[in-house]
Amino acid sequence: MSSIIASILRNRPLVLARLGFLLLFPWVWAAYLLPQWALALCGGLSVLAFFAGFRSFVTPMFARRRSNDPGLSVDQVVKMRAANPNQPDLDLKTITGELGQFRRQLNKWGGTSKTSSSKTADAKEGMGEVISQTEQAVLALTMSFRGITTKTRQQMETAMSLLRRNASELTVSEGAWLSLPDYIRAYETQLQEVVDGMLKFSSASDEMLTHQKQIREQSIIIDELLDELRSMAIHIGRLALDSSVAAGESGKNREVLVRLTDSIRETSDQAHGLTRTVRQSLEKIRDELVVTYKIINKAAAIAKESAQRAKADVSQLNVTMIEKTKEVEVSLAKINSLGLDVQQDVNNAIVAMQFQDITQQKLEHVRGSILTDVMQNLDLLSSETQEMMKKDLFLAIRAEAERSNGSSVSVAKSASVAEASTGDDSGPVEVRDAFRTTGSAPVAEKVTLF
Amino acid sequence: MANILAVDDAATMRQVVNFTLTDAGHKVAEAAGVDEALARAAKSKFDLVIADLNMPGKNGLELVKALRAMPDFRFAPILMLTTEHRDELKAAGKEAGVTGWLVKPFDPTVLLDVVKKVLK
Repeated sequence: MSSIIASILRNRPLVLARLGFLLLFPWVWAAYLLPQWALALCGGLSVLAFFAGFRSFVTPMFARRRSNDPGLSVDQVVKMRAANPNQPDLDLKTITGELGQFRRQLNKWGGTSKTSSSKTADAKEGMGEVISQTEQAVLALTMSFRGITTKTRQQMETAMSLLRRNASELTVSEGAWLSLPDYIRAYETQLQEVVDGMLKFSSASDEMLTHQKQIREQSIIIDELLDELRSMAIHIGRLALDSSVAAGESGKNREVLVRLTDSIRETSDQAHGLTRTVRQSLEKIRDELVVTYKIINKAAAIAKESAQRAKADVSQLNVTMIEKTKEVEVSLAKINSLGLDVQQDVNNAIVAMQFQDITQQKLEHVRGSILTDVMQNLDLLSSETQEMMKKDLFLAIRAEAERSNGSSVSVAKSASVAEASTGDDSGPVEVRDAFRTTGSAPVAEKVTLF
Repeated sequence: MANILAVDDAATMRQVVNFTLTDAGHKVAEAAGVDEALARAAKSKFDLVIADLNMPGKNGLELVKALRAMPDFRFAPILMLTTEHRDELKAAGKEAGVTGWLVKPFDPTVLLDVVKKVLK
């Protein structure tokens, strides 16, 4: 009967629902009016009526439906109803053993399925954690190496900017930015200008020295002239003395007096000539002094200008040098900071690599333990399921053979066995023990599949 | 600069330790297991040994005990570099003769500081 109920529940649940509705519906309304004992009596009668109606109505209808199945040919129906001569004659103990084994395998299946489900959940969680950590590690690695690349490029650009020439910004006087080579070149230019100025000053000094020599020679000439003038003055003084002496005796030596007078005149002419020569020399000396003065003024102006320009340029260069030194210091500090950042990124990359390694070890652990257990359990489930499918198929064939034989005793027996197996939780004997008691071969080898 | 032996079954971890210590000027030798480490220790003397705890076959504590039995490594510093951080394992390491315990993942700066301290 239980197999019929199971077949109805599986194939015709609507029929069973209609039957229950027809039997129970009037009592639902009557429950509001009847006393409790009447309800209990009616309830009991309803249960009895349900079973009686089921035995007298549903079972024949189910049997009719099987025999009237349009999908089966007449020969197939006859063959299904005919008893199989090769069918083993199983007794109640064998069937009980098979059902006990079936129940035991189901329990084992349930336990294994629960364990596998738990381990699969653990594996899933572990794999999720592994994937998450791997992603984090890869992300950290990517970010670190990207940071390294970026900062290294910045470092290189900062270092190269110190040596890069910018032609549009070469004016030192405006305090513009210069690269170090440009700065050195500008400094050399300023030094060359200072040297040129000093050379001009030197040539001017040489020229001035030449004029000084000429002045010295004119001075010597003037000294000589002055000596001549002094000797001539002495000579004139003598002549004047002699003239005064001769004047006392003038009455007698008149001719001598005339010659003396001529001599004095000649000497006077010579003195005049010398005076003119001295005057000309003095004029020349004055002209040379004027020229010398101009040259000296010119050289002094050049030297002053060169010195002022050099001073201004050097001052500007010093200011620029100080600014450049500060820029270099800032750049070096920035490079140093970037280097520290790069070092920190490298450290982070090392930590990320360790995370990746630890994650890989966890993954190998998961693969080696949990997944292996899960796969073993799944293999076990697969083999046991196949075996249970064979047993289920055997039971269905057995029930169909009994039904086709029309043996009500066998049906009642199998129903009682099924009820006994569902009610007994202690577990029946092993199937091999049951086979051993019957003294026959294993069930799988005995069943013939259609 | 010190002569250091790095023992770890993971090649990546050995390379990371090697890179970190070599960058600081140390000379580093690598061993992938306890047996290889003991063979290297028998051939040459190391100023410091850095070993993993969990390795296939013999573990790090067995390595420490074997090294402590060797005259050259009786007083040499030995660091454990492992993912384990349980107190009972640390106590077992201390009892075996471990000088220091570093938990992975380590920061290279921290490793260098520890190495500098134990080498003093």
